[in-house]
Amino acid sequence: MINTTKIEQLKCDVGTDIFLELASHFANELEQQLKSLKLVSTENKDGQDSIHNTLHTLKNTASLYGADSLANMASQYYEKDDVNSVEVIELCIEISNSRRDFLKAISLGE
Amino acid sequence: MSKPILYIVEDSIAAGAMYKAYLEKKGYEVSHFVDGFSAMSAIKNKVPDVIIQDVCLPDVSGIDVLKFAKKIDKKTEVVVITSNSSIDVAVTAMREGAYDFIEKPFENEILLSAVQSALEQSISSGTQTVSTNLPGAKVKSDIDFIGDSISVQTVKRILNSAARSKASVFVTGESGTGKEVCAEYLHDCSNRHDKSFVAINCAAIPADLFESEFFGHVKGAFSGAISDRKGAVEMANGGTLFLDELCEMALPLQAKLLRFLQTGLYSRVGSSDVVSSDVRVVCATNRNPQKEVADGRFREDLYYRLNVIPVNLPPLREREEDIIILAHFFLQQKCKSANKLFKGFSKNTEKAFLSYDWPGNIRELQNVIENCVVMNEGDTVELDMLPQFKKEALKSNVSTAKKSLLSEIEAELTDEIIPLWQVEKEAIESAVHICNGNIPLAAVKLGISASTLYRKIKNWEELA
Repeated sequence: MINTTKIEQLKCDVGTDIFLELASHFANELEQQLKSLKLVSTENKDGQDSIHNTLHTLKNTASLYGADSLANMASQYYEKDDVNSVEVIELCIEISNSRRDFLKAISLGE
Repeated sequence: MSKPILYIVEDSIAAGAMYKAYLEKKGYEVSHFVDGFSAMSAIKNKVPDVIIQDVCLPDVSGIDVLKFAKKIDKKTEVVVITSNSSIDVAVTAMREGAYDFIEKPFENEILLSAVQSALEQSISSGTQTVSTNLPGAKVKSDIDFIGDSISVQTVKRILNSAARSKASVFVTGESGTGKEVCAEYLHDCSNRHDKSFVAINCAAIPADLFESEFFGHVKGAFSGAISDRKGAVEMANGGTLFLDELCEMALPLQAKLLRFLQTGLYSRVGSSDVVSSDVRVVCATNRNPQKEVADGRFREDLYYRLNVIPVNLPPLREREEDIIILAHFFLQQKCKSANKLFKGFSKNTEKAFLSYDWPGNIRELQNVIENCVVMNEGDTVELDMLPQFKKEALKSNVSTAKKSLLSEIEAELTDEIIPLWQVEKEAIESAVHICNGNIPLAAVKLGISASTLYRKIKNWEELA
């Protein structure tokens, strides 16, 4: 779910043209995080560290761009010691859906 | 009056770019750095008025950047941005001299308010922004990334930021997207530009010779080692070492490379002397490094060691708006070297360029234009000067015509399909006729029971 009030606020803060450019950074970042999560292993420390770092970035950036449900999920998983493979899949689905909804929301608001 | 200078150190490009855009709109001069080393290098180069500092960074801790900034100029104010789960780190930051900390996620207004307060403090304590350019550092590289697309602008921003540090850069992208150009650009923009840029293609060197090529050898180390020879690591000392097609490197050599990266020390083949070398490593691959790690072909620890600043170069087909810009650039370049007079492209040529997929990316575009310039004369590049594009267009037309013909035939054939019941009826009627009306015999010949045959005949008579 995308917080459209937040998006409108950001447009006011930086201007619509710049916001659209920033939005593409956010969409690209989500895509990169998705690719990275799809390949990560939950079975070792390096994998868990990588997931932890991704969640750390996601919970802030998603909230900043109004992707509230993704931010909530990232915050919730970030608090856990270890994230299991099912949770990683859920996160991947949420990233994918949020990215789609976000792009839809900004195109509708143009 | 000059604008106050702010540095944002935030590993998320999307978040950092948002803070930067907002604060620039409020009248500040803002630079964004995605890692600690880039930030520290920039701080050394020019002390900002205020630093907005994330704590968790991919290379060093934000606290280290804070300490570094305070060491360079203790009047620089630092606003630490952190998540609620790392409040204890923020407290440490305050002890180390941070002016304030704000908890993520925050509204832009809160950021602005924190910056304004920090700036007031900075002014009252008399901070001055003095430019102390690194000796010999180039302002800009002669090599440039051409293109207006957002993806190229993002890459340029990352490279400009990364150029100020020693952090390893991992460039990924399809063949021909400009990975080596990227490495040369980084080298030229860094304060290492007056030292060597050494490029090694890991796929082109036989495994047996790799260690020698990389670390050098001493005379007599193996048959054929008739004299001492410097390796790439030694030649690149103080400069940049570019490792192209890194994922092709054999696993045992990956272990040796990792050891060198960790310690900066190595030994020439055949020698027990330990030598040090200070190199900045830029590596590239056209494979997916994460998949190579997952498949066990690339060491995970080496990947994390090298992937401090990842740069992904987009394929040309994904930056359509840059194709014509690049084409014009190469046309000018090739005309100059071949002494030709081409000024531009016909509409049809541009259309063909835009509709083509460019599997060989920028390298392919460059070759197409070079070929055209060398082989033709004129002032406009016409489509018929590009035989490969004519073929492509023809192939595309033939393929379209073929598809169209096939669909017509398929449509006609669809009309000719006979319903199964009708086929069955005709087969039975034929059998009965051959058997002179003898239904039981026809049933035997058809392989069904006589009663089934009678029932079917009765049904057809009723339907008729």
